[in-house]
Amino acid sequence: MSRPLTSEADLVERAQRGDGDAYDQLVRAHQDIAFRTAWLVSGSSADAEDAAQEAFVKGWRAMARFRPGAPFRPWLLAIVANEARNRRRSAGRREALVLRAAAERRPLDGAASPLEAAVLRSERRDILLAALECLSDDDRAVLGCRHLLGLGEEETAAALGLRRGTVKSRTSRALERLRGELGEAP
Amino acid sequence: MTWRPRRGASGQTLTWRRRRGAPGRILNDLARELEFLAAEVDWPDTPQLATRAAIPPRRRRARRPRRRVAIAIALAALVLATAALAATGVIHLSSGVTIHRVERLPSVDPAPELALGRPVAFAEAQKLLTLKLPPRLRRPDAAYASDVGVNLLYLGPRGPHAVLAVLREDGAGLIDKLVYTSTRIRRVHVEGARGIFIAGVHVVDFLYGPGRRLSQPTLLWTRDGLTYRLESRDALELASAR
Repeated sequence: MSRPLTSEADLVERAQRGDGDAYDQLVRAHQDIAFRTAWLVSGSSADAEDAAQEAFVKGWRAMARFRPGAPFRPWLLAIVANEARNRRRSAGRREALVLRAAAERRPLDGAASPLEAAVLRSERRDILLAALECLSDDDRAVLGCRHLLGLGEEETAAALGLRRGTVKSRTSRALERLRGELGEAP
Repeated sequence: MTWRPRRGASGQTLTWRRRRGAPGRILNDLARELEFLAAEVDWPDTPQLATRAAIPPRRRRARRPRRRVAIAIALAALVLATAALAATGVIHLSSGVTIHRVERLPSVDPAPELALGRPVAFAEAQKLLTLKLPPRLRRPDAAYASDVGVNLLYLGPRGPHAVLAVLREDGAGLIDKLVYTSTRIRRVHVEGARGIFIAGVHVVDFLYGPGRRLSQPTLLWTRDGLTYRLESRDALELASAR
């Protein structure tokens, strides 16, 4: 008989009782998205690493204050993003979003795609990224959380320290500005 | 409408052929474009990060006395993954302080002792060494004396805030620092003295006895044959380092 998977609630309960292994499992499950969130907010791999590291330590120390039954990921991301904001570098030193080299060469529609279409789609990605880089840190962070990391409104709100309604309106305005950067604004 | 990039005279531009349709729909299309783009972004690799701690989290109602030094190093209670030490660079602040850049931090004692020394009055500590302290560090909350120098403890509203170790240089190694290759290290000045600031969590090895433990961000500087080591997240501000 297979052993039942440990639920997040169980891990949270154990971690709140001081079980370091349980906390380890909780954090490991979210460390990639936590690090990427920190990277989007801080703009630097080094800062993101420091931020995530500090946040994990702080999270452990704050486990007693975690509300049982609440989802763990938004809580962790909020701590990570807060640390990342404290480390945000100047815009001039920000690491840019870049595409994977392999992806640039690979036609999105598979081998059957006409070469011209593949080239156009590759250019489109480049231009979209370039436009994202032209946005303010706040706009880039909200679009990054919502659409690159795929966080929900609630999680984005927690990560960026905003109200849910603010996330909604800021996302909309950031998309408008992105549209403007792309030369599409009405 | 299609997303067709247009080329200008200077090469690639950010000008696109305008699409027709309701604004909301256009924005939805743009959001979807971003979601497709996510799969193509070259995200930085997630580094190996310590998560596991050996000391249970504090309980709100069972708070320990403020002066319990152990709280100051709750951070040091992490157990890092055991890994080989791969030095990729060395920085010397003085003959006694060496910083090693490493790919991975070594495992550390999960319940280290801070080993500050014997408690003394601050006046006595000042007699042991000629201290030149930045203005915000001139009134420690507690002082300790050890064989190699003195330790000064500063409390904040929620417990210990900083520890300043002032150590005599005697030509032998005093402190080794093991720092992730990606952690920022800055050269700074503390009231005219040369120093180094390590911005992230790292491992400190006190070669004169206390051994290794995890350390918070630390500012190090030397003055008049003494090495000053200030461990605090707010070290730069506390020491007015530039």
